[in-house]
Amino acid sequence: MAGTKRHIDQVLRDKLSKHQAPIGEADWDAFVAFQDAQKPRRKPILYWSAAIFVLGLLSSILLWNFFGSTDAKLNSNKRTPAPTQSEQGAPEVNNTTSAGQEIQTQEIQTNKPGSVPESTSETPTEEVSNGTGTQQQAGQSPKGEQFVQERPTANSGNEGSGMDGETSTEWPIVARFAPLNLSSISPRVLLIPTPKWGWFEQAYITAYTPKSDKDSSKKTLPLAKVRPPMTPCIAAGFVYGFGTPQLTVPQGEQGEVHKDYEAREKEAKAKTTAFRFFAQYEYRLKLGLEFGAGLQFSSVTQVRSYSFENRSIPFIGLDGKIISYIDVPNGQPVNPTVIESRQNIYSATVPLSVGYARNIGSNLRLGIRAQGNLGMNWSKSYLSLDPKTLTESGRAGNSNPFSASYGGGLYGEYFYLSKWSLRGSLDWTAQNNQYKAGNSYNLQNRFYEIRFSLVRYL
Amino acid sequence: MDGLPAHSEALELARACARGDRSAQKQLFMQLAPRMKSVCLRYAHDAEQAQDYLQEGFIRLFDKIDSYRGDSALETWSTRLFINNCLTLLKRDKKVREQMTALDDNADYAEETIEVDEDILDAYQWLEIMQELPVGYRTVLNLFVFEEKGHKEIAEILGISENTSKSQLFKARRMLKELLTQNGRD
Repeated sequence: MAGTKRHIDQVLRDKLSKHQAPIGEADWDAFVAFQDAQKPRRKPILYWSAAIFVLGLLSSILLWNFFGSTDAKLNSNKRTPAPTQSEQGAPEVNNTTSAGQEIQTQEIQTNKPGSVPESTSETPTEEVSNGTGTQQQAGQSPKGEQFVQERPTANSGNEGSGMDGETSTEWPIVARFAPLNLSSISPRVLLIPTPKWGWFEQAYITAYTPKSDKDSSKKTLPLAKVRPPMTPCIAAGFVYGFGTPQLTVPQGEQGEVHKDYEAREKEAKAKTTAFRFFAQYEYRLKLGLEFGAGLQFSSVTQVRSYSFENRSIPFIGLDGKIISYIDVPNGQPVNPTVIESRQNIYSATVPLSVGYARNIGSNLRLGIRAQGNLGMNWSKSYLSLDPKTLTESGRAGNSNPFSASYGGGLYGEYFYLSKWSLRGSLDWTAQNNQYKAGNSYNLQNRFYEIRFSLVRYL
Repeated sequence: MDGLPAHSEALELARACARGDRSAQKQLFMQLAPRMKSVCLRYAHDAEQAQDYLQEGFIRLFDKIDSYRGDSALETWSTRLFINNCLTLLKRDKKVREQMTALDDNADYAEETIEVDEDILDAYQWLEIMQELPVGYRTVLNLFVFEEKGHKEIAEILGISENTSKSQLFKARRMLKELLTQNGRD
C-alpha cells in the first residue's frame, strides 16, 4: 500500500468528498416507513378547539333546557286532549305544575275573513250539531269580544288534523277563557298554521297569575331580544391577542444559525402581543349565516429574549440576522444577562368575516366565525444589541408592508337591550410573514385572541 | 454522480417532489441518497446514527424543496441542507451540546503538517476512523476540510471560539494519525 505522502486534509478530501455509499430499495422503504411515523402530530390547538366546541355544545344544551322550559310547557298545553262534553263548558282551565303553581292557559282561535260566521251572543255558548257536519263553538275573548267558530265533525267529510297534524275526528280545545287581567299577562304567542284547516290561525297565550306565580318558567329572561334575521348591525370593540412567533429561515442562510441558537438556548424566549381596535358592519341572513366587513387597526409587539449562559452573545444586524457571536471572557459578568430584540408593527386592515350562529334562549346567540384581514403594515422600530456597550440600540426596520391574516373562533352574543348587544369571542389567528421576502429569516405569528365588541343593531 | 439530472431536469424533478409526487420523490431519493449518506457517515459516530441523519435529512429536504430555485446544482443545494441538518441534529443532542460548550481552549496551536500515505485506506476505512473521533474533533474537521470553512465561520456555526476551533482541528489530525499508527497503517 506504499504510496505518495500527502497532507492528511488533502487525502481525506480526495477519498471522501465525492464518495457515495451504496443505497438500495430497502433504504427507500425504510425512509417511507420513517416518514409515515413522522406524520405531523396534532397540535394542541386542535385539542383546545375540540374542548371549546364541546364546552360550547354542553353550555348550549344546558341553556336550551333551562330557557326552553316555557316552550316545553306550551307544547304540553298544545297537546292537551280534547275535553269531554262536560269540560267544554268550563270557563277556566288551570294547569298545575309539578311545584303546584298555576298556569292559566288560554287558547284563541281566530278565523280568517269569510271562513267562519261570528256570533253576536253575549254569553259563551256552544252549539253542537251531531251528524250535520258542522259544530259551532262560541266563546268570549278576554276583552269580552265574542266569537263563534265553526269546525267540521267526523261526519263532515273534512276530518283531518288537529294542531299536531294527527288524523283525528276530535277537535282540540277550542276556546277556554279565564278571567284574566291582560296587563299581567306575559304573553308568548305562537302562531301555528294548520295545514288542513288553512283558514285557521291559532294563538296560544300563556299567562301567569301576578305575584303568586312562582313557577320556574318565570325565571326566563325578559322577552326575546335577539334581533331577527336580515337586521344589519355595527360592531366595534377591541382585541387582545397573545402567542408565539414562529421563526422560519431559508436553508443555508445565516439565519439558520439564529434558529439553531434559539433551539439550543433554553432561555431564549419569544412572545407576541397584539392589540387591535375594529369596527365592522355586519349582516345576518335567515339561515343563521352572517357576513361582515370593516376596518381594523392593530399594534403587534414581538419580543425575543436571549439569555447568555453559554457566554456568547449574538450580534444582531440591521436586517435581523445574527452577524456573529461575541465571546464573553470567563469570569466577566454579562450585563444585562438577558437582552431583548423587540419589534413593533402597526397595521390597518380590512376584516372580512363569515359566520353561522344560533339563538340560545331569548337573549343569547352562540356562533362560529371565520375572519380574514388584508391591509398594510406601517412603521416599525427595532431594538438590537450594541456589541460594544452590550446595551440595546434602536435600529431601522425592514417590515413587510403587506399585512394578511386569517383565523376564526367561537363567539357568544348577549342581547341586553332591544337594539344593543355585547359580544365576546375566542379566536385563533395566523399572521403572514412580518418581514420582506428578501430577509434571511421571517417571523410568522400565531395568536390566541380574545375579542370584545359592542354591537348596535340598525 | 451517475444518474443525477441536468439542471433543468433537476428543477422539474424538484417541483414534482414539492407537489408530493411519490415516484419523483423516490427517483430523487435514489439519486441523491448515496452521496448524502456519505455526508451523514462523516458527521455521525456510527452507521446507525448516519441512517437517522439520512432519513431526517430527506424529510427536511422534501419539506423545503419548494424553495429550490435552480440557482445552484441540486446536489450542491442538497448537500448544504444535509450538512445543516447534521449540525442541527448534533446540537440538539444534549450530550453533544455539553461537549461543545466544554471545548473552551485558549491555547494557541500552531499549524502542523501531518502527512499520510494517500493509498493507505479506502473511503470506508477512512469513514470508520473518522467516526472514532470525538464529536468536537469530527465536526470541526468536517467543516474545515470538506466544507472549507474558516475558523471564524466554524466558531460562529458551533458557538465556540476561534481558538477552540483551531485546537479541535489540531487534535483531530493528531488523533487520526495516532489511529492510523495503532492500526499499523502508517
